[in-house]
Amino acid sequence: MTLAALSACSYAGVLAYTLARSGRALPAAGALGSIGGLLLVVVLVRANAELVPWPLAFLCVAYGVELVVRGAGVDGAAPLVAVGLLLCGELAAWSIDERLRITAERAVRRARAVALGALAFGSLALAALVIALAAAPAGSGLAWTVLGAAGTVAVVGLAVRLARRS
Amino acid sequence: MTQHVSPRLAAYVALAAAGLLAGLVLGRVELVALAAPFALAAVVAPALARAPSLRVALELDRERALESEIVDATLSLTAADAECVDVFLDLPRELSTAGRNLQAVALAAGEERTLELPLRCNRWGAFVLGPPLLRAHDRLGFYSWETRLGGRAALRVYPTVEALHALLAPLETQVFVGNQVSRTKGDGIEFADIRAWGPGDRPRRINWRATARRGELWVNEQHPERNTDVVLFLDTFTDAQYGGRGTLDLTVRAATSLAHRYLQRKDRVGLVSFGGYLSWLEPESGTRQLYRIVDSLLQMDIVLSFAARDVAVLPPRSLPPKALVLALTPMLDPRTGPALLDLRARGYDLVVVEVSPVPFVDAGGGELEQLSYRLWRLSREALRARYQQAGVPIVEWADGVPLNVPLEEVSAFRRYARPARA
Repeated sequence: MTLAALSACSYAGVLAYTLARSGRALPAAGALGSIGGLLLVVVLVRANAELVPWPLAFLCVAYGVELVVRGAGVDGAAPLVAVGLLLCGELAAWSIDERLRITAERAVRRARAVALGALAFGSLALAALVIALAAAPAGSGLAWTVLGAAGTVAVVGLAVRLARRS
Repeated sequence: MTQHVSPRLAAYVALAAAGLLAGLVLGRVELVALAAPFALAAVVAPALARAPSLRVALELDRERALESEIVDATLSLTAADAECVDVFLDLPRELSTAGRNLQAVALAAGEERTLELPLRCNRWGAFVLGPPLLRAHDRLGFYSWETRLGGRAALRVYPTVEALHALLAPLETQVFVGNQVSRTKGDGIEFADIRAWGPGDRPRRINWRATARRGELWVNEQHPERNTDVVLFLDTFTDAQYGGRGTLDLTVRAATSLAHRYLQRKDRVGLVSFGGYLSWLEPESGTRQLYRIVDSLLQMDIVLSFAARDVAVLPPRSLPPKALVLALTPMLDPRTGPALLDLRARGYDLVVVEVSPVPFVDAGGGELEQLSYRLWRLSREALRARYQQAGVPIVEWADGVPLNVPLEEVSAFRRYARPARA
């Protein structure tokens, strides 16, 4: 229950931040965020682990819409938004796992909490690094674009491989 | 080991890919930052995933137990590296545990952990426990590995024995010494009769009062104490069950109690399982025979068969002459009746205890169902009458009634009915 509440809080925090920044994008971002919120409630109530990524996807899209509509300027809080989304998903998944009738030792919970904390901290650092690198003056925009495209292709390739395995 | 990947991981990869693509297309670095945690999770999780190396041992504190007793199962776990492992011991319906069967434990590298699982034996049976099901998973639950490890452990749960106050006395005894007073005359304790003295009679057997009255030597005669042969004839063709109990369950419980009590009385007890799967144990006496019988009863099950069965297929030594044949039958299969009447015709001292299937049968609500039910009950009455016409004592024994009751009914029947001799 606590984990589910934390997951919902994390989602609500990111959504509130997105809506607070939204000007003209408020209706679209609000609608997408609400759908995602409803999905998250369904996920947490019905304990459906397979639906966990969908609320995150909706919130990502809401945030993206807000960014596109707003236009200029880099959002410095993007790493926090990213970590908030990750925590929302992970806490929801953990909450669902806890509902199985497995009596877990305290050490098992502690290990997962430590791992989640480490992942969140690493994610925050990585996202902050991405934002910082973007802010740094770079000589060639094309090189960065090529590097980004290569990274994207690698991730998409990994996604396809995982999809085939599953 | 079977490896499972959480669908969450694939979804994270998809989210990361979508974020990166959107960032590239829209030229927004925030979307790339948004994708970064999911990309990190997708990279780190497979990089750190490795199949665990586990060792498990399953032990029971004893191999035999009685119903309603507690048997302690011990699971010893050792891991080469630090692991989080879910442990589950698959239990048959007849066993339950008050403890936590499904446990998640954290193992340090090289650490040996012992998990105690008290098992409650709810019902008799022969069981093989294990191997336990293990599921190791990484810290965030992206990867898991499932396997069964740790060997098996056998457990035999014996049915509780019902206290029987009196047993059925057979019509004839055997030649070995036992606790049953024989109808014949010989050396014994119980007084039988007096007769005129003859050469070879011991002086201590002289009845002085009769001798004084008749003027010649008269001696006492006694009934010797002999043992009996009892054959428990179980009908295992079919079973009527309801709510976890059934006629086979009652049959096995009754057979265990009877075997235990007759063997305690130094009688020889044999067993015939007459059903789809035919099995027998020749009459023997002693504790070893009791274990043989109970072990055989534990493995007794209903085996569906359409093959014709006859007592002629049984080896002669499984049904010794003058044996008391105690048949326990639900009278559901038409092959049992002719076989029992055949035994009676062969001169066996036959007693039929009808393990009533009526409490396990729902009469139904419809008119047709009610009619069928009444016809079925009538056909059972008719079959019962056939046994009685053949001079076979038959008693109905229902669930919840002590076994003493039908045995006493048979004794009463025998008090007033004499066996017909062909």
